Amino acid sequence: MECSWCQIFFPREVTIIELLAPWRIPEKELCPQCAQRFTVIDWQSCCPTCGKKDTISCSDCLFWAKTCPMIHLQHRALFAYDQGMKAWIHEYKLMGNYQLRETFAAAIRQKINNFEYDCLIPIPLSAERYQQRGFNQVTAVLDAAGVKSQEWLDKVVDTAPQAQRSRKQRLEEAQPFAVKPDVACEIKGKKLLLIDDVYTTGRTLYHAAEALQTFAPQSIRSFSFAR
Amino acid sequence: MNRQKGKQYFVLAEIAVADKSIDSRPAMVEHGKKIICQRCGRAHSKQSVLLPIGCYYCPTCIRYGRITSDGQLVIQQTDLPAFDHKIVWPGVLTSFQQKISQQLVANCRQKKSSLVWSVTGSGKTEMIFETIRHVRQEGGRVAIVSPRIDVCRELFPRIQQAFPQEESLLLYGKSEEPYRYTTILIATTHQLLHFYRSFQLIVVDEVDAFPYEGDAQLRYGLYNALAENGCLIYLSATPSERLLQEIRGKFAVLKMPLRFHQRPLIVPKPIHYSRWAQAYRKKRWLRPLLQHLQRLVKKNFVLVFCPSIQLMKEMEGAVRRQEASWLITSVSSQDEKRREKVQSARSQVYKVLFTTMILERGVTFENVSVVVLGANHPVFTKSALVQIAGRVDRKGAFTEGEVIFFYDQMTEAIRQAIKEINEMNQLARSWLTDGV
Repeated sequence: MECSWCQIFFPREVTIIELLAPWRIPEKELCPQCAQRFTVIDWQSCCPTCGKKDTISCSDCLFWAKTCPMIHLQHRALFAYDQGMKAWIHEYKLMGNYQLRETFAAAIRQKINNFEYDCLIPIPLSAERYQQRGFNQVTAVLDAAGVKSQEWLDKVVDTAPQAQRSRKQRLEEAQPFAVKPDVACEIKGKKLLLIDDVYTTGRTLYHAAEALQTFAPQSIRSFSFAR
Repeated sequence: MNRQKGKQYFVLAEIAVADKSIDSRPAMVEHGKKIICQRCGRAHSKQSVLLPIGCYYCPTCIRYGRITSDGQLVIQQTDLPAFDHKIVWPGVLTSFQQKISQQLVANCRQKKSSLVWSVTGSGKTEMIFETIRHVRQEGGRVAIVSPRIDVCRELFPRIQQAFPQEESLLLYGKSEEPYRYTTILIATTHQLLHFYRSFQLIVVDEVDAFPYEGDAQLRYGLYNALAENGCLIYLSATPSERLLQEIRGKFAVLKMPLRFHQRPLIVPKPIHYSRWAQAYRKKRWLRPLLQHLQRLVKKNFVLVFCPSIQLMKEMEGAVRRQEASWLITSVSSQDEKRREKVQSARSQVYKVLFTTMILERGVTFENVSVVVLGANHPVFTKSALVQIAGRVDRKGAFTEGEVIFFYDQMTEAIRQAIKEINEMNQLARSWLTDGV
């Protein structure tokens, strides 16, 4: 089987279910060496509000409770944002290796199915950045995972890449998102699930949630690949 | 722009057309259902590399910066001033080296590529100096590349020393110095992907080494980087069958069986050792190795080659427990202090150095003996064994360095390696008796 990250072929045993249903064998999968580089976050022991690994309450969350008291994202993430994840994000998003969208597709599909939601809303890119990168890193993974998403948000302000700015600068940034005008009426009373690639300060997701909140959805939760 | 002079880089199509002073070509070419990257030569099925914005990209060479089908590869070529050099080199070529050196220059004049098949420690680098000088006299640009960074690092100061009036640069993946335009470039083979028809002469040292051997992408990069009227020189002590096949009829093959000091190669002694893979577990199983080590360390410092990092670490621990007074260490590719350790090994700090394949080639130690633990392991190919045996008696006075192959099953690789060393020694003897 070909590894979905390092592209090296490795042997793997087929499970009984796969033997009976060979069409369920994925084309690519993480090899054991690559899989070792990621740390899965246990959702039982993570921070209940932001999903940080092995945390009970963090200063980040207190800050958000004060700034946006109306929004309770109860954020959850699949992996810890550690060395391995940083390397993956770097290759996928910054170097632009679109094929890596397959790496976590199966795991992400499984996790998203655990949520109760009506609509999945990926965080958008600005038009310029989209043209430059060639793809939206969030929708690409969702497409690969085979889950439907609604692109209801627009990024109207082109901000500099998050990673190039300090924490303070990021928190002070103005609202870059706007809800697409034609979908405004559809949001009302829906359970929304926001999806982003990485949750660092939370600024992006809270901005997106604030933009959507004005249209009175029933609830907004969020999920990211890494925290 | 100036910092990129003489280097190939990727730009979007509109920008490329606007600037007339540079050569440009499409970054990717469609071929039926496939799309071929013009930088690394790899063909991908269109559908697998299609981006949502409607263009294709190449995942194979993405770590050199992504290229997409809506862009161009551009390069600004420049004419070099011809330069006549005096080679500054303290040594003198032996008459045998002189002969090869002259043949190389003659081949280069006729634009014919050559393979120098010369035994380890024969002074290959010195033999190419004349050819470099010749190409520079004609105003050509020269690249000296190797698949292995250790080899490049060792080559660089020697080239700098030999051509002090020439600007040279050492370029590799994580090099501290950024690229600048130089007449002589020393680089890893990977870096050639950044060039297009730029060099009149490319010398590939250790051409049989991993990862160049059998890597189509690197080969494509090499031929792309060579100027239309340029020629290649391959240097190798152990060319593979495959390489010989590939160059048959196209390259001139020059054999050099003699070492610089004209002593024969040390012929390895194969010794049967039934428990080498578990030797660290029991004192009794370790004894054969220990006895040989005790004998060898009296005269020389000992390099022990192990087939895996795990075994290397276990053995290091086991031998240290038995011989606490010896200064023992180990070095592998995963070692962060790799460079420092190799450096101190050169100055004879250690008594025994355990290592893996990384010290197989390109490094020179004085007063050394070599032990291969598990020479029958598949990682030790014929070329690897010949290279390893070639670590001994490279420099300085003869110190009775030995080469020992421990094995528990005789393999073709061991047999062939010993046979090849014997053949080269025989050829050397006939050269010495007949003269040039």
